[in-house]
Amino acid sequence: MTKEQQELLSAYFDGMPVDDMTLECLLSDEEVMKEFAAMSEIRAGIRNEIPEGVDFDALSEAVALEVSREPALQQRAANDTDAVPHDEAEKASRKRFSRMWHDLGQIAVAAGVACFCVFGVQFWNGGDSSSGKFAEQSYLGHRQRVTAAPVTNTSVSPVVTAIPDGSGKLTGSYNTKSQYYREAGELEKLKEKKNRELNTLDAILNDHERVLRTVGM
Amino acid sequence: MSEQDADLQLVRLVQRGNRQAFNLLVKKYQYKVAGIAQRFASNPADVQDISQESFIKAYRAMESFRGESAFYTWLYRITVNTAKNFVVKNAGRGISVDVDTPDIEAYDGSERLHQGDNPENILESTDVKRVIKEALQALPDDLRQAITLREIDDMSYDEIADVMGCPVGTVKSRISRAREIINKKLTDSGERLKGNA
Repeated sequence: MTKEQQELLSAYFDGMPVDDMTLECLLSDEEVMKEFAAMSEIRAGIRNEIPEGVDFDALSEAVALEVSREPALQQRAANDTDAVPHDEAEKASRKRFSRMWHDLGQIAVAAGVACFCVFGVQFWNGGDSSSGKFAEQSYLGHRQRVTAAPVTNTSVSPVVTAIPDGSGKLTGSYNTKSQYYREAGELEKLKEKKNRELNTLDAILNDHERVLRTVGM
Repeated sequence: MSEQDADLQLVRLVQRGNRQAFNLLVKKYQYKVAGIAQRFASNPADVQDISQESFIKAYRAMESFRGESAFYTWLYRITVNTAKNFVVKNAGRGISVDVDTPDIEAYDGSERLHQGDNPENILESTDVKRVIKEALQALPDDLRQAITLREIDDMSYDEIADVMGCPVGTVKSRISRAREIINKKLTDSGERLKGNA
């Protein structure tokens, strides 16, 4: 060790600042470590601080050995920082996943209700329209027959379709007014039923909107 | 930069994974730590155990050291707590208790003084002190004054420079030289403490 190096080490021992790189260089030098230990010993000797009977060789070696078995602090810190965010990330991921399914469920419910409403309203409104469009659109086949025909054309005259049966008599299928009136009665009942269902749908929609407002979607 | 800052710099290195920095802190403070332990346990083996355990605890707790107090103050507290626990654990009850238990405060460690000193080590440390004292007395005046002001009066280099009326660089050189001479005397006399040979 040169005189300059020794002076630097001595001054560092007394608190002179050195940069981290210099210090790490000093720490990696075994001779420096011995010099530093000697300076500590001299200081303790001058200050009469050396306890009697203690084997400082064994002490420092035992501590160094024990410390070498311990994980380096940076590694430990890295492990800790890895571990904590990993758990948190997993929790967050689970939460996001759960939230996503929750949202999708709500969207599906909302879409279902919306479809039901659109088709339901079209269905019921179609029954009242004079355009007869609904007769083509309705998916409720048996209702189509019942509801669409009389409403689409109220001016229709009774039609008799005569089919010769070979006996001289005509057997007929009567599309008479009474039949229309009968069907019109059914229509009134269906309208009432429709209104009840629409009210129910409104209630469902209102309820769903309230839920959506509550969850902040 | 004070010694406190120098210690903090070493602590930061330890916290970044440099174990050798911790070994340097051990070399620096092992005498003081053993001195504290000796107040609680007179048996040198116990003093050694307490000191060792204190350093290991300090290493394990190093992450939590934020530099709000001096490193030595922090180490001092760890050592005192370790020593108190050691004493209570070995006081015949066979159990370890927390350091704040009143029993610990009431415990008189002096009862155990001088029960199992190792004569060889006592002689060794006594001889080391003697050699150092002799080497100190034999130093040239300017070197002796510089090292005495530093080690006994705990003055900074600037203060020593003021007292001695010389540049700080000269103070630095004189102190380094004084240490070198004393170290050589110790090595030549063969009274070097174990671990520093």
